[in-house]
Amino acid sequence: MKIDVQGDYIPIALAQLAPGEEIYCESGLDVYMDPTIRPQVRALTQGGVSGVVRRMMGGIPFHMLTFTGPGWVAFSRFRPGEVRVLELSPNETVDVAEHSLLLATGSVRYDVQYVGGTGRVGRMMGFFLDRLTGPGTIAVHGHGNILAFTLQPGETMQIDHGALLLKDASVQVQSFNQPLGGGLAGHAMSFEALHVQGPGRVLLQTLDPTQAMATTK
Amino acid sequence: MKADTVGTITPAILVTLNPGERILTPHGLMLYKEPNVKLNRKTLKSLGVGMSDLMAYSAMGAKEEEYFLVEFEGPGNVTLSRDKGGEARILPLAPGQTVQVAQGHLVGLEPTVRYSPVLVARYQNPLNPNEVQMLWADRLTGPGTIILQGHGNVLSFNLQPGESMRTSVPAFLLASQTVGIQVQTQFPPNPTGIVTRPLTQAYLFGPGTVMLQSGT
Repeated sequence: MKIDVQGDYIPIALAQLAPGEEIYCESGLDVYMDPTIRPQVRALTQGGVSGVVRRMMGGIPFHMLTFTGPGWVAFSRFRPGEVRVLELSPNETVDVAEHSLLLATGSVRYDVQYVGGTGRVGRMMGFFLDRLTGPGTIAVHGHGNILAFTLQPGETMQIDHGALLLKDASVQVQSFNQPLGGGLAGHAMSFEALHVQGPGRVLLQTLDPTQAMATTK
Repeated sequence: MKADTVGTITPAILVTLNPGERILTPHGLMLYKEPNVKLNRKTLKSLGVGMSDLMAYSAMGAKEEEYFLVEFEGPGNVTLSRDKGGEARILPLAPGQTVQVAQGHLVGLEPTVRYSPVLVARYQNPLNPNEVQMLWADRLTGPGTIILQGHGNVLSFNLQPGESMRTSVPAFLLASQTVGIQVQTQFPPNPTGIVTRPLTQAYLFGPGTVMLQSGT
């Protein structure tokens, strides 16, 4: 399998599949394909009943689209950004923000990872990340530009919730309230952010996907 | 303070602060920061904006106007993003130099820069004549560095004394204090007789620097 990224504003990931090779994605991301490509709706049953229930709670659709070669098939998130293609070795696990996975090869295991919130009303009551385990290849779409960091053991950074695109499973994420200055007013106006701690890779995106969706409605 | 633009699609501004150095930003722009960087809240009143002006903003319905700015204090890195596609500009202002930046485009300013929101023009909504629209701007006076972001590409012009240009109102991004700004609505000659929308444009009179943006 070969995956090329084309375009530098709203990029596509163009996959060249050999006979029998398979990739999957959420529905609605395919741009074009060869007539030889065989699309198919497939129930995502990895992990049995508990896996299905957990993924459904995490907002991952029960049905995915699979595309089987031979031929070319192109995918896009249809929003400005950058695409990164990552090779996952066996049992290597990464967590990807919702609405950011573009495609994964058939051998990649798809699950969810829950990050607890601070208990405040809003999206930070907790959220889910897509958990992907190799072996295989994945492509992710970062909204805006992608900023890459490698955190050393114990190294930390504090990030906006919408900025997180991808992290290694070894990177710990915890939500916290960031006071907006001192005093009672500072706490009352606090906002929720994420505290991440290495070791491992962290990819950030410069455009919050919820903002990107709001502006393209 | 050191500021650099990172990325070209939705640019982020990487600000490196030495111990005690500070930068002021509108709320909600932080992408990430290092844990050492302190975060404070600065009300417009504490930045020298008069109480009467604040009440006027409220009375005039400045819905998007902030009543405080967020202050990041070093040492460490903080990165800011406006969550919009476009170009960012990092501009040093000389002492006494004043510019007006369209509201919603300011990314950051050094504390030495004097900040004051200002109503540039009131005009009729071309799609609904009963609705009054307002063009607000952030008035910024040096010395110090300011950071702003245009939607789409940023186009720069230097108007000579007596020179003028017309632009659509949403395209306005920045003007020197010396540039006169008027918003006017007109009905262009229409030989077809078919009813069309009026044309609302900002008239900019030199001398001074003007920046426009290609997106809205």
